[in-house]
Amino acid sequence: MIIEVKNVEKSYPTGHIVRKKITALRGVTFSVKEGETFGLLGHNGAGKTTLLKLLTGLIHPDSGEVSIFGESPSSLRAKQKIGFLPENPYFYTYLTPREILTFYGELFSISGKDIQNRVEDILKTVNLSSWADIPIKKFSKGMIQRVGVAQALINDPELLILDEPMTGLDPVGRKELKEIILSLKEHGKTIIFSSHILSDVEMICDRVAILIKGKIVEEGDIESLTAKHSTGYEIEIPKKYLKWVEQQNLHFKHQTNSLLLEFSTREEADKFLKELLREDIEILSFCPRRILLEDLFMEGYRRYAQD
Amino acid sequence: MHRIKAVIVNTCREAIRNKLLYTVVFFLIILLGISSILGSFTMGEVSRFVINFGLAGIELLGVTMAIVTGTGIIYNEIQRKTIFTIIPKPIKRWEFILGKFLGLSIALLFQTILMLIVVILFLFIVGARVYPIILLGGLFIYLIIILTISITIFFSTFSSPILSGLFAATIYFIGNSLGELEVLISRISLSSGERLLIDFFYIILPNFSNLNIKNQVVHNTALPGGYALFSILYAVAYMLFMLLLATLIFEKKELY
Repeated sequence: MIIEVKNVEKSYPTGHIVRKKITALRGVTFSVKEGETFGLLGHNGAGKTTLLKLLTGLIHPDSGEVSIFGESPSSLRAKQKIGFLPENPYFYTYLTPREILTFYGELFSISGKDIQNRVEDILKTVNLSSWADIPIKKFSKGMIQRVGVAQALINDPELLILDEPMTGLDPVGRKELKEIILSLKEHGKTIIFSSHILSDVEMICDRVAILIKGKIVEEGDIESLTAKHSTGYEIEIPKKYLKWVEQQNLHFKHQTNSLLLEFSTREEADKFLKELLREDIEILSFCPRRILLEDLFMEGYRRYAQD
Repeated sequence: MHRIKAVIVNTCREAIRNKLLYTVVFFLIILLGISSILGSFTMGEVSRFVINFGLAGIELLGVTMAIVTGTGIIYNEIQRKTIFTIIPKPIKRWEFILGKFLGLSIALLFQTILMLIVVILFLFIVGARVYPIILLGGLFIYLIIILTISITIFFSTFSSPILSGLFAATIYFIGNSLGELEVLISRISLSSGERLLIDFFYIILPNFSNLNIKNQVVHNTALPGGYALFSILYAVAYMLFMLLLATLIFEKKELY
């Protein structure tokens, strides 16, 4: 396992005069295998950032265990293999991207020609070559995010930890970043990233965990999670049969060019399928009704957010 | 060492880009300004005045820069969230503190050397004699400056720049008066409890007056045997103690 988190609890103090404790994580347990792309889904304040900060040694758990590459997150050996992009990254504004990347590269003890070559490659990867020598203070949010991605890649990490990586990026930037992540995935890198943009998670991740109020309420690969919560069957037919469908006393949904007929059991669906064949009605698809990740997330949110 | 060097270079660069060296220009302008009133003085008076004023100026500007820059050196890294991309890299927290301290110390070394050169050139220009003890004076002022940096870094690990600045400035002023305070207290009778309390503060507060050798420099008188070595060792030991405390606090600090 690359990441192992066992029964982690974390709370932090808030307020200046009257100190209160806010519980950010409650008994969180999960693991990430080598080469896996793992998504952490959650609403704002769910504990995603806290969890990722624990993985990077910025904070320490109140109880429970966190290990990265079998070591403590504070160990230099583990840190040597990690690339981390924090949410809304901040950099020294008086530095240029080239200086920033050189600085971070030196923290990994990369030096001389190696660092120069690495910096050039990464600047190209994140499309910042022509901005390489301009101080960051002149950059837009999206460009700073690119610098953030670049610094996370400077050591050619085995594990990438990305906290809301799509934040602040325009559609082009998002597409480019997705391509970078997918290419890293192809190269066998292990990636864990948090997001509340469900479509990004669905497109990129192999497995997800849904975090609600500091608790993991669902975990698994997207296919089986959505299948597990799927109920009933759907038959899709062309829209031209609308009148006929209306006469059948059925549950159905309008799609752009088709109709989705809904059945709660396989028997019902099979029975109606025969009817459709008898009527010589064209069948576009027949499959179990899949709930989307979004539905799953909302269902979890409704169930646990009230606690 | 690579990692500490990277932090040192970056901290130096920050200090320089934050126009730290403007203080040297400011110092030069003040020094040139006062030269207009030196015409009526004898050569001995001019020499004493320039050395006294010059060294006091170097110390005041150096300590001010140490406090202004040093107070935010850790706190601002956390507030501006730049630390979130540094600590997850393979660097120990103590290496980060040490790099920050050395970076600012080197930047202020340049400032001190430049201002000392300005004073020495000024003495040459007005025709005064320059004695080598002025270099020792410069070294002691530099010790005061880096001792102040270590104190401000210590406060910077747990309090805001304004509070850190206030604490560091107060300690600097009290530390400068400790010598006089000792003489004053020896003249009054105290209960054993009061004596214990005063001794406690005397030990924990940095004795900056040990490092004040401006009078000896102005009058070109040699320092008592072993005094320089003791003062240097005292300053270094106190500095290391401050950095150790800063590191212990920063090691445990949760970077939310």
